Amino acid sequence: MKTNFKRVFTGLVGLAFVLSLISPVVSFAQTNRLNTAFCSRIDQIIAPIEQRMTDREAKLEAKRQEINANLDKRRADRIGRLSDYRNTRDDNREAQYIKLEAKATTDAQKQAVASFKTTVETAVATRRTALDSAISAVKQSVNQSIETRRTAVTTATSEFKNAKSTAIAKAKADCSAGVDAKTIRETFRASMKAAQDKFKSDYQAIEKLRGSFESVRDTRKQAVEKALADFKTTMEKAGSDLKAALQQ
Amino acid sequence: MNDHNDKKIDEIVERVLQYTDDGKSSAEIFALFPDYREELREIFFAVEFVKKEGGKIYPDKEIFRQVMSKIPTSVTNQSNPRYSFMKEAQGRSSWSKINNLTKTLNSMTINWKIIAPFGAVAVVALVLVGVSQFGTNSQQAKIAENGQVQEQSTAGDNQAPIAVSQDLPVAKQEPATGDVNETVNAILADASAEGTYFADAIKDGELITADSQSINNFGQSYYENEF
Repeated sequence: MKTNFKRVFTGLVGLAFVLSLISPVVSFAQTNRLNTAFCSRIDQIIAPIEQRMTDREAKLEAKRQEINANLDKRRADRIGRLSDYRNTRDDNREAQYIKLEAKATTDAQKQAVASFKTTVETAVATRRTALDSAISAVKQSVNQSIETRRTAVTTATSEFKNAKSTAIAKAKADCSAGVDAKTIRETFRASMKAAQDKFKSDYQAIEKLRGSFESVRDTRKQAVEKALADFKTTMEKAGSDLKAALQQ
Repeated sequence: MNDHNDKKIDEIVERVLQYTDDGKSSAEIFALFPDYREELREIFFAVEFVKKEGGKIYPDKEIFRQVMSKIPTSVTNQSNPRYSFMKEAQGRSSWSKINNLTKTLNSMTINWKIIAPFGAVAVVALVLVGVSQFGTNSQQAKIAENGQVQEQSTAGDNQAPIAVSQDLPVAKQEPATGDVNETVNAILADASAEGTYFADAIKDGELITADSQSINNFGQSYYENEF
């Protein structure tokens, strides 16, 4: 047992001695190897970052085009369907007026029907104007919000790309100057992290730009609700007046 | 008499072997010992046989066992106490395998004295290389992992675009009855329906931020552990 212990102890001491001898050599060789490998492959190492930025910027642009197309299609479809709806309902109201006129036998009743028709058409026009105005205001607000957002995003992405280019140029210059690979890498990482954090901060601010749209949306929503409420009031009064006239 | 004869033959054998080593032919040797031709013939036959079949000659097992049992256990008169238990185990078949294993182990112990230092250095070298390689690889793996995650999030970039609304009201031609209440209700229904178009216009606002994921993905183009 003692003999074994001596052997193990001697072996460990020997191992520690060997390690102490080879460690600095290995460390130096490793550092030197990394330095050479890092700087000789710097373009190759950076390429994926640049490629991803290019690809994702292209995807962002494609997304913008998709949004534009979607928005245009929605608006065109909405306008067309609303126009059809109104034309159909205009025709239907005319048919209603004709039936009402047929029921009016006296001049007073005929006058009451004519008055009802005028009141309704005026109310419908007022309501439609309010609605169209609200839809138009929302459209403008959406366009403006998108434009403002895109301008801000373009600025943020440009700053991020510029920061990346600066960081890459610095890394290459440091390589040429023989700066230690670890230092170059850490400097590059710090620069890119700062640029990325700045972009995130910009992005969070951009997200808040929605406020302008929300404000317009809420104001116009209230306007439309009021227009509809006014229209309902007008219609109920007009209906009540006509019923009274036709019963006489 | 026999002893004298045997000694004489032993001397002759020694001299014959010497002559043979000196390169003399068998005829010359026979000529030197004319009275021992018969014995010389046997000797030469034995020498030729050994020369020819030497590698294939095996002793009788029983004879070999007897010879080996007479050989002392060590070169000194004192036997190694470490192997004394083997004597006790002799004759027991269950111990024979253990004995063989013990012999192998003893042989390995001796080998390890030589192999261990070289092995330790080799292991250290492998560990150092492994750490450097694994470090690089694991970093690359992280990058790949990150890359994968990021690519997955990029794949989620395609947000479902807001479809063109299919729930917008379609106008119907309602029958005109001439009833005031029915007429008023029909016109009021128009107002409610048109309000749906405004609600649909508000939905356009969702497209303002429909590029959020794309912007976010662009911001994630750089992986911190990549460089």
